[in-house]
Amino acid sequence: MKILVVDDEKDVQVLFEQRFRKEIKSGEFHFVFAFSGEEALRYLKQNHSEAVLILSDINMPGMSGLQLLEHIKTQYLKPPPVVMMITAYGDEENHKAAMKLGADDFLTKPVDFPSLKEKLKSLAA
Amino acid sequence: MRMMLSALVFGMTLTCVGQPLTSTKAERDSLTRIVEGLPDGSAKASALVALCRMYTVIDPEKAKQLGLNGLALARVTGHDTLKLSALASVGFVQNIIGEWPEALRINFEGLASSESYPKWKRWFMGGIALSYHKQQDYRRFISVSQQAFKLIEGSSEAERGHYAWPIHMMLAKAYAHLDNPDSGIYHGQQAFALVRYTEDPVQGEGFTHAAIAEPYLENGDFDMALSHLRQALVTFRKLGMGFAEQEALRDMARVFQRQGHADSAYRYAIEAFEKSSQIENPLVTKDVSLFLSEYFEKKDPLKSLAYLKEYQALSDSLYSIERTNQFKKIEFDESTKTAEIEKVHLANQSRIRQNTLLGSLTTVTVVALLLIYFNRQKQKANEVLAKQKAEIEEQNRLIKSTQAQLIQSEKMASLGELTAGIAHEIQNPLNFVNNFSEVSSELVAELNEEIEKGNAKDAKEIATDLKQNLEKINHHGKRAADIVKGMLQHSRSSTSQGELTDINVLCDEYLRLAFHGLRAKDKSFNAKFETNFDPSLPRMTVIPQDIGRVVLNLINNAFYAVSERLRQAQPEGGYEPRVTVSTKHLGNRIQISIRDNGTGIPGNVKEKIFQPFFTTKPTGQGTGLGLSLSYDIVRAHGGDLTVETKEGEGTTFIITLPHQ
Repeated sequence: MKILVVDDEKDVQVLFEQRFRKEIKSGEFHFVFAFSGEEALRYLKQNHSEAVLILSDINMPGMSGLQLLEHIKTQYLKPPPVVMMITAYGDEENHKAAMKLGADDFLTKPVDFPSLKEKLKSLAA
Repeated sequence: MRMMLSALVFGMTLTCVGQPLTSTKAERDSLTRIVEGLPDGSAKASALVALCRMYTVIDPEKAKQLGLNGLALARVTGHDTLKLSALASVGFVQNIIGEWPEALRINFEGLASSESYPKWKRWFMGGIALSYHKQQDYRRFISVSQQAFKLIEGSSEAERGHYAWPIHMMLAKAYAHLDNPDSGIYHGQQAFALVRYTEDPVQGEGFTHAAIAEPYLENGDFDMALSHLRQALVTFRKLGMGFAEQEALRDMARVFQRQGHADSAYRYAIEAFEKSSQIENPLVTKDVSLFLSEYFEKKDPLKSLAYLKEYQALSDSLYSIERTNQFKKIEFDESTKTAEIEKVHLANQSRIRQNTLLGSLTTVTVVALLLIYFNRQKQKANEVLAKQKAEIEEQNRLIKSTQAQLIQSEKMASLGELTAGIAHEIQNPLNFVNNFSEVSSELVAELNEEIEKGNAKDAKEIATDLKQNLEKINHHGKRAADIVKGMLQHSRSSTSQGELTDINVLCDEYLRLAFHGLRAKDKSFNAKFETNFDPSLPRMTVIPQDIGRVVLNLINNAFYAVSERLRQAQPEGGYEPRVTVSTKHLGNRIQISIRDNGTGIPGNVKEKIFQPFFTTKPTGQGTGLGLSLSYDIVRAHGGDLTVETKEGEGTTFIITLPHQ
């Protein structure tokens, strides 16, 4: 399963690669990284519908995670991939907005990696 | 020199108008009975005045009352010389008890009424001189003395000597006080030359010895001063003159004090002070009290305080403000009267010159009156000014403290804006720290497994990852620490030191803080932000939190401007909010520009944006100090803050800082 992680924090890449080192090694998951909403859209455009799951931060400079979500869900891709939103501000408003825009899940930072792993595995199955 | 002494001395010349100062109790009692039996009239007035003279030395207060009663009767009878005699007696006793303003009033009245009585005129002139002398107004005293000397020109030597002797003595002191001891010594010597003409040359010599000691002391000639004072003391003790003795004792103490012989000084001072139980001489007692208070200051504070209290009480009674005011008023009244008298006098002398003289005298009087009027106006104005000054100072103080509070509240407000951004900024590195440490402990477990398996290659790989993770933990830990440090610096109100700072890093940090701060407040907010940093930018010495505050403030404004425009824009208008922070190295200066494509600033607003308290934000949302403070900070760094703006297109703020 190809997973696109969108976050403006570059160390997220190292972290995910280590957190999922076994899954990556075994080929269970394949991660790609984008460091802004724009970059994520570019990737999706170039590699049409390759990613089946998108994990996106909400608070990013430029295009926010919610705008990215809206693009993906409304205009861009058919069939739309699963999009999980991650935010440091786990407030109701962001949650509602994300759900309204069609987010499939809503996670708050700090990310609980064991439960994220569970979720990803159940989606891959 | 001693006021009291000079009063007594001057009293001796009273004999020139034919009335004795000395008397026996029997004489006083019999005269008192006579007065009681007399009807109101000139005889009673005359008797009252005589009785006043008799009591002058023994009981000055009683003497004054008798004299005032006599004067009241004398005024009614309209008898010239009787009135003058009463005025002379009252003025004299008032000088003795230290009621100088009253004495001056009486003596001026006497002077005005004694045009045809030269002897009386001299007396009153002398009395005026004495009052000025007692008031320690030595300049006026000297000027009056010169007028007094003029009054005896052409008189016999004996008459001149008799009148001039006390004046020379007083001049000895006056010049000593005006830093002209040589003139003082000269007048003292003149007094010695004239003392044989006085009623009692032995007593007179004693007074003269005491008088000349003063200029000698001022001259630093302690031996001469002491020698004269010792001779004076011998005379006063022999004649039983307590008043004069007390003054001489005080002066001895003074000389020894000036010589640095504290204990000798103390001996004489305490002897002088003890005399005050027998003699009512507040001026001398006051001086001695102050001296003793100072003497005991270190040795015995309680005693020192007791003497100081004594001194204070005496000072208060002697120099009340009211008296000084009365003094000034009388002086003023008298100067006008003198001008009038002079005018009449001159009119009689020459009819031809009358008009011009009258004219010029009127002019002089008018000018004098105007001067006095303006002087009073000036005093009033000065009072008003002083009051206003005090008010302004108070307001100034209030403004300053309010300003300080506002600056602090502006800091706290911007800190509040930052808090959300900081929470986000701090949360992220902490998440990394936690995640990398958790992952690392998993890796350690795997590493052990690999080692047990003997799989060196994989073990090495894991070790490399572990090292990288530890570096990440360290990096993000530092990042969080830096944010906390910045936050503390930001809220600190003390002025900080300049630090070598990477402006690019600083701009980047504050840009992120501003962005996340706004995002935390307004979830829907978003804007593109770009950085365009000049990599050749040198590190510069600035106060980082201050420049950071400026950058933060300008970026916040920029985000505010774009979000306002976004709010007003058509939904499909294709407006893309954009904020760009750039730096540029320009030789000996650097530039930081913060550009937005927001609403822009209208021309009339542009002029005011750097003014304190100017804000376009709704009430309660901005202090109006942000740009004003930013401007001040940049100026304090020797730089400049300018703005380029076009309404509807955007704004660029440019910070220029000199690079040393």
